[in-house]
Amino acid sequence: MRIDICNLSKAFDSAGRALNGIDMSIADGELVALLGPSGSGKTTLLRAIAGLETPDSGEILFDGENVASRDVRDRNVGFVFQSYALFKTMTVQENVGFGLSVRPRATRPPKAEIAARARELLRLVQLDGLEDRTPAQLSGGQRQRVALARALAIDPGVLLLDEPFGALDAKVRKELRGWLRDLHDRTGHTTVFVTHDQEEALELADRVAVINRGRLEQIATPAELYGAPATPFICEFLGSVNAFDVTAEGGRALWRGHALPLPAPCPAGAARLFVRAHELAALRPGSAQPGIPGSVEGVRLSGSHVRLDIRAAWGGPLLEAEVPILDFDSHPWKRGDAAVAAILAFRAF
Amino acid sequence: MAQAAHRGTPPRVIPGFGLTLGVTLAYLGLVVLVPLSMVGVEAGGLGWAGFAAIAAEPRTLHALAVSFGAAAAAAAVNAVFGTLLAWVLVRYRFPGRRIVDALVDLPFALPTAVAGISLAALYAPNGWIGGLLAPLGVKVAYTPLGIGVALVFVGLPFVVRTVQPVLAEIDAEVEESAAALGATRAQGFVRVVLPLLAPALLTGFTMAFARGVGEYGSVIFIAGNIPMVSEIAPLLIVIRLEEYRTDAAAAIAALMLAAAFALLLALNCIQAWHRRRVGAP
Repeated sequence: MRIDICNLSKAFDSAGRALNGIDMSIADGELVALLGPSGSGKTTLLRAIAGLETPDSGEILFDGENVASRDVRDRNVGFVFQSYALFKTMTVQENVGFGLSVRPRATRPPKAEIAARARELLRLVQLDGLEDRTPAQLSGGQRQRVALARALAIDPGVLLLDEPFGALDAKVRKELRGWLRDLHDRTGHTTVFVTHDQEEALELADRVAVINRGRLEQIATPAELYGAPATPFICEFLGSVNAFDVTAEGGRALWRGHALPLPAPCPAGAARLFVRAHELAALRPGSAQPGIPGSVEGVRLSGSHVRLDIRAAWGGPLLEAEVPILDFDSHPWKRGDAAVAAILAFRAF
Repeated sequence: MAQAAHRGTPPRVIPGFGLTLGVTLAYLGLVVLVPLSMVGVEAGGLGWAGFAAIAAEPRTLHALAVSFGAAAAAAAVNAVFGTLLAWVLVRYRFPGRRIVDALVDLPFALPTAVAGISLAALYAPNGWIGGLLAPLGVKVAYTPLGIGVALVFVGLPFVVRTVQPVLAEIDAEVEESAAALGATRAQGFVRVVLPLLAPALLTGFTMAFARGVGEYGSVIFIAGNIPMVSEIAPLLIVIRLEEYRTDAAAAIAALMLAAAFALLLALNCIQAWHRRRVGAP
């Protein structure tokens, strides 16, 4: 199912969050992440799509049909809550079959069919054999998958997940991530999920919508988002980044009274330059490439690379540079080393 | 030294198990078990034949039936309306909510005789409510129905106060999730919320029921106390005591105890089973 959201606004929901003229389209079968800091309104947007929040104005179109005033019961959405919201008094199978068992008599499948459908879905989420357990007897990851199977049971037009992996530990999280992608590719449901974890959004989604203060900053593929961020907020939000407040002057950028050595001319009118940590090279003094002189103040190992905190001789905040661990092993840095931070690439706003 | 003293039993992190359990058992024995066992001792003076004769007396049986029947009916009524009241108090914010909330506890605090006298005055054929019901042919005061009314009054807080916190604990997301799956409001309540409330509701019912079985003060004014019609077991015990038939009074008390204990045990077992099934309460 295709979803179009037009100029959707809500002045503060029950949790005090607002939505401000959101416009976006989600194609049939697409997997889209709503990414943003906490309190940005991303969950409110998801709940508005589901019909759990009523927007003040704007339209939500499901396959071209405005559903903004339609009750959640009639929207045929599969919603997976962050808390999973499983029915504790029912078995796993009863949970999954619930959506079918509450249908009006005319469209309700017979009991045996509901049970068969529930078992089929539990097989799909790899929980066969646990039909008669209660939610209390399951692990967090298993509960998550029951919630997913329950949402899929009503054959929803769209699957909506609120922080689907939020309550799980890091390892289970990673596992389920790949598994959800796989499930999506097999069932083909249009899927929207909310997350505050950028790695999760970038790795899992076809497109990522970045939400900040109730506004849509950008919706784009992970590669576009990372390579060509549309706004300073996205630049700062994704990855670790150094920000330079500059005055542009004839292709040069003046920062703290010095001309920043840049690999390309600075566009006129630019006020802020962003340089990602891996775009800032730490060089030994005396190397041919120009850079910002300074000294190493901190050395932090972070998985496949080492992060250096460099204090620029020109003052300002600490600069962060990433060094691949192999380079670090052959030429280690330590605190107090003199260093030159060379800018390899930048984005200007 | 301390370690030597503990040899054999591993030391516990939470201290004072022996002391607290000892005090608990002694206290429970002194306050509950010893007085109750006196009932058995007194009744035992009758011998089996004497006990059976009193137990089989129609007046005894009827009084027991009235007490247990009216208590069960009143607790059932309170289970329905007490849940409704708790629902309103938990789910909605309205002016005067705190006052309503405080009103619920009044039956706890009011001397039961006061409640009994006001109820009797209200429901008597010439009272405010009794006067309205009389033309309809409904008699409340001096009938078992009147006993039920008094027991509804004293039992209400038990249901409200046990259901209220559990209802407040139920995550709104659980109800939203039922709605998203297409359940109507009624289906959501009956199939999702009510099963979650069931243990608390059962506890409230049990407490209101237990209170109703033993209630005396508020009942005797409105009941009329007509033997074989509206005479409750606790009153019959008092009557027997006034006749200096302590053993007969004890026999009736023993019957009440046995029946009440069996019922409470059964209800507790149902709850334990439910808790095992659902996990944390």
